[in-house]
Amino acid sequence: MQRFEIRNHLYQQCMYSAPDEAQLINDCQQQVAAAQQQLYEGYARKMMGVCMRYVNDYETARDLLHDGFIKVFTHISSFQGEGSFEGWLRRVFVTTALEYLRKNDVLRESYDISTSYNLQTEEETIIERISADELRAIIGTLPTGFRTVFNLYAVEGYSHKEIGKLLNITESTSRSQFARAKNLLKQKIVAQYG
Amino acid sequence: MANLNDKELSNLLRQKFDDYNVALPDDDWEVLKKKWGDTQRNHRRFIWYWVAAASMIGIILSGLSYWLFLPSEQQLPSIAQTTLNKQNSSKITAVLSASVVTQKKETIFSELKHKKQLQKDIIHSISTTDLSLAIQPKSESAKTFTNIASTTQKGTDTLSFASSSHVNSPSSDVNSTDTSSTSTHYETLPQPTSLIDNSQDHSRKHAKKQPVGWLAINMQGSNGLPNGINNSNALMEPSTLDNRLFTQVNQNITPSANSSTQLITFIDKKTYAFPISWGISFSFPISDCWEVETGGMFTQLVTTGEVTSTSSSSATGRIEQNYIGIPLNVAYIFLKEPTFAVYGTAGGAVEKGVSLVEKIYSYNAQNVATETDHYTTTIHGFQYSLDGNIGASYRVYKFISGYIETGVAYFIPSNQPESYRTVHPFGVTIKVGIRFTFGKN
Repeated sequence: MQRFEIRNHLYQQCMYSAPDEAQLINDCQQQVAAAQQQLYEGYARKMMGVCMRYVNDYETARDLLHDGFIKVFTHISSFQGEGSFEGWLRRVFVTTALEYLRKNDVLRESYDISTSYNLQTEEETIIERISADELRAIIGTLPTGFRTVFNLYAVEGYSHKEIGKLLNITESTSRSQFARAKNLLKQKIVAQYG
Repeated sequence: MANLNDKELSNLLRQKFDDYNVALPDDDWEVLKKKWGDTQRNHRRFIWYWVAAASMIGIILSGLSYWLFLPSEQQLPSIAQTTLNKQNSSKITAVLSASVVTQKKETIFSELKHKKQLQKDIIHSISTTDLSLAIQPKSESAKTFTNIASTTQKGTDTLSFASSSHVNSPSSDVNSTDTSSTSTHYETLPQPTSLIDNSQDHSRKHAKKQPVGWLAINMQGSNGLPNGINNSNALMEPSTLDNRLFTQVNQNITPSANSSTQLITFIDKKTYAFPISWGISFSFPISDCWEVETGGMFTQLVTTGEVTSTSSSSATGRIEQNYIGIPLNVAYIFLKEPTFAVYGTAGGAVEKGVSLVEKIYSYNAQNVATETDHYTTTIHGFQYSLDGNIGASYRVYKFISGYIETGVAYFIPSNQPESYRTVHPFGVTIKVGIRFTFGKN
């Protein structure tokens, strides 16, 4: 322990900079404070973007960001180098956001719809044209349940089966919420940018 | 208009959000670093709580195990089986064996009932002097038998099983005319001490003095003795709570037009709440008069501070220090009656501060309070203390006793945060509680 403290001190004294991601991860696993700061500086803004897509409130997203980084610092030793580190990080933050949503009981909305809506090329053009921030803002106006399923399926790439397990809902509920989310999104995009 | 399927939509969105960033405040890392530090401290505190809880459970289980097994160990060896060879009345065999006793116990009881009358006759006819003379040639065994004889003579009450019934039983076979024979033989198997100890219980009254353990729930208060520092209005030192309160009040003061000439007076006051401890304790009897007491206790030390300025701005602060500890005392029982006991204890305690919570409130001119600071931290190091008490217990119902102790305690300066104990390290204590007695009484 004392060795790490000395190392921590030395790193902070001489402007720590890990030569590569592997070294950075290794140092974070050793709880080197300067490495943790570099990790934060490298990913905080991007992970804040992930959090914002789920909660649509800046301060809440910031709290989730901090909670997520605390989880990362605590459990980074469980990252064994399999897959991309950013992917692992993103999963941590998505899980943190989902925990928050579950705790606040906002995922219990269920809609039974049979019609599937597809966005059309007109909307595709609009999506390409508007900025990510504007798109995030529109997604943010969706009801929480729709937004969560939409983000998990369309952006993170989870299957409806996986989403069902993650959110403790049925696969069909996930499908229906995604379809409803798409329809709402289409209406909002056309209304604002059409 | 062509439809955009889900896969195409996903690709489009992922592309859009691939490098999506949201700006953060400049001090965000500092905020996170503080949260991370708090988390680590909470984790360490949790470990301390866990260790303390595990220790207490371990101690309690050890105590319970001791109570469960000790009485039987004490009783079984004490049940002596003394066989008398009727054909050769000069030979007396005292067999001490716990295993044999277990098997013979019921037999002895039934024999006692059937031969009660005979036994009384025999007891009256036995001469203690004769027995003593008869056993003089055998040193250790003789002593044992002297005690047996003595008990036999006096132990007419067969209900006092714990100490005397097992001795009476075999002696019921003693023929008084044979006890003066010089050809007496003793066979003493292991654990003679138990026989001697128990044989010394000459009467039922003495049997009540058999060591027992107890479990107690108690509350303890400590009133510090004056040591030159006024408790209710202590002189504040520019540190910790005081310093933060002054800073808070200074922030609240709005500079007026004539602020350069305004004389601001600060009235400060600090109060240390009377410390009260709660605990569970239990005793290990080590002899008839000596006991070892230990257990676990929780103490909260509260310090409040107040700073008021002539500009009507004020701030109050409250610090709560939570300690858990393990006391260890040796007790000597001066007087032990069936329902009443007087005793003295001496020992000490080791306490670990598990958390320190500080809350600061500031008040505006309308006296509306706002919480301006709230943080929790750990307390490093240990608090050691020594104490001596005198106490009395009174049995109120079967195994339930109430007790009260009073004495003195000295809290050894151990580099702990400021509290009642650091200001008044030497104090008078009073402890009250309820004991649940275990074991044979």
